[in-house]
Amino acid sequence: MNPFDLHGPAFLVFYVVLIAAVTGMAVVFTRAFEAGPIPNLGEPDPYLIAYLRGGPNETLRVAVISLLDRGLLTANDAGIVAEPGAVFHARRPLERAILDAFATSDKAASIFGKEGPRQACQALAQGLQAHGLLPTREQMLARVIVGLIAVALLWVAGVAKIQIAMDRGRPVGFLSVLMLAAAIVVAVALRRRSTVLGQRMLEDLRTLFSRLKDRAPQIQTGGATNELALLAGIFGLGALSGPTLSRAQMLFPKATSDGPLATLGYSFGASCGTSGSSCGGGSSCGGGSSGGGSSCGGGGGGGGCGGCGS
Amino acid sequence: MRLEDLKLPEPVERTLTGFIEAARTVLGEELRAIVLYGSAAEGRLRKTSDVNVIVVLSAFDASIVDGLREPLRTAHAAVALEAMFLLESEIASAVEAFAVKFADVLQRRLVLFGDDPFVGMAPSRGAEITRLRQVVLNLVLRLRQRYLLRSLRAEQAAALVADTAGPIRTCAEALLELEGKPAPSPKEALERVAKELPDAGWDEVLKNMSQARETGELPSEVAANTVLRLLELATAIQRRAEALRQDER
Repeated sequence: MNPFDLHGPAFLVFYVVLIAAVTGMAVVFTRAFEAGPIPNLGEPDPYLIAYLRGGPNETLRVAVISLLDRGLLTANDAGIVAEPGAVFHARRPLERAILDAFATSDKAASIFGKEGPRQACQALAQGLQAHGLLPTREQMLARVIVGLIAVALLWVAGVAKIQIAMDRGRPVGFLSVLMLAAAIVVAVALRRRSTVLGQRMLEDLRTLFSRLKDRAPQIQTGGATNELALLAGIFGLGALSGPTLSRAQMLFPKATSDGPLATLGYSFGASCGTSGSSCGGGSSCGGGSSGGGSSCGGGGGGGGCGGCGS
Repeated sequence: MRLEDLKLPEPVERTLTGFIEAARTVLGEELRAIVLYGSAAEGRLRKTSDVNVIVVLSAFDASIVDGLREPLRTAHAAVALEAMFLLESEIASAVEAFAVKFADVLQRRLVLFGDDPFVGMAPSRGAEITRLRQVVLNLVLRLRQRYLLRSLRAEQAAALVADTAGPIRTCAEALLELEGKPAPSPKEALERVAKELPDAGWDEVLKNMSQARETGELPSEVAANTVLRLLELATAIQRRAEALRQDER
């Protein structure tokens, strides 16, 4: 049976199925082009993960919240400001750039427009591309070519049917709209922030750190650990809890209102970057196995060895 | 038994495997053993439980151990890994000094790397009694203070109940062991101690404690009362520990 002989609604159904099939094949093809084993990046870096998940602005948000937690930045009525000498306590280029950017008090969201921090983010992007987690220029080009071929196939079929329909004096409005929709569907399906590897790595990290998310309310603040940065980096600012979440909501209201979408790796609001392809959606003994970890302290949750101090 | 046999949640097993690998690489010859203990060693890990390990070293050399800082921070973040770094030469004194804790370690442990450093180790009876008295008295004092500070807010009282579960069970287990009536697990030890008390309602109290430990929540009307009942229970253990000391004399 020749599908081009199908009448009106029947052909439209056929065309919708064709869009799905061609788009599916385009996705499968590009994914195959970006596949491979998950690279070993060593210990998880919260900023690198935040970039992979949400781009430069998300990275900047996570870094600002982490620096606030460590006390290297402080929030005041005018915005955020770096503590005197804080830059000497920061070892990461991104952290140093942010502290420099807040040498004088400024609004939190101003960080998205500052050159130094954005450049530091760019270095993260390059690292992710080198590991195949963000698409390289070649992979982006491959996506564009595959997308154009897919749209061309769909449009050739659509134009052929329009020709036939016009010869027979039939209306072609719905099919024309579907042809436009086909181009949008293909573009959306192929427009992923990260590569297949990047997506797999994010899923893997979400599994590995699922218990961190479960105990978000118990996370120690004050920069004693890297838990807060990892939690925000992997799951988004919306995964924070208590006063830290309140502060993040106050400073970056849009990023923390994404809710479940944030944890799926999409970031709206002010998250669209300006650069390249990054635009997108008490151990010590005593009380036994107390809540306080492997300490040898007295009973419920205390550290230290021995005594009964509280 | 091996780590895989414990059927721990995937993130825990992977994190432990990664930490062992990192420790072997970083510490080299300095690393003597890694021992998992506590609920994870029994495969009874809860969602909010810490994962406890003892890392036995021949020496604590900063130039070597520094390489373990990042892996440890990551493991701590991922699964609440709590590591105790113990020198080989300190094992005997640690077992003696922290007799209650190590009595638990000696009963519930899995050697993840190296030779078992606790073979043949046992705290002396005197040390165990002394340490039990210290720990349980400490628990009682803390419970009193925290009851007054926190029990007006149900969620904080529930967290206090959850935090108390581990220490009070361990104390009960140590007590029964010293009384010559060992229980198969800390949980059952506490149940036995509670059953031996004259007044009723302990089943409900222990059920509430388990609930607080598993979910972190308790109904507001029972949270504060549960803290008080646990204080009673801890006081009963304290009295029996004192009686053990009298018997020793």
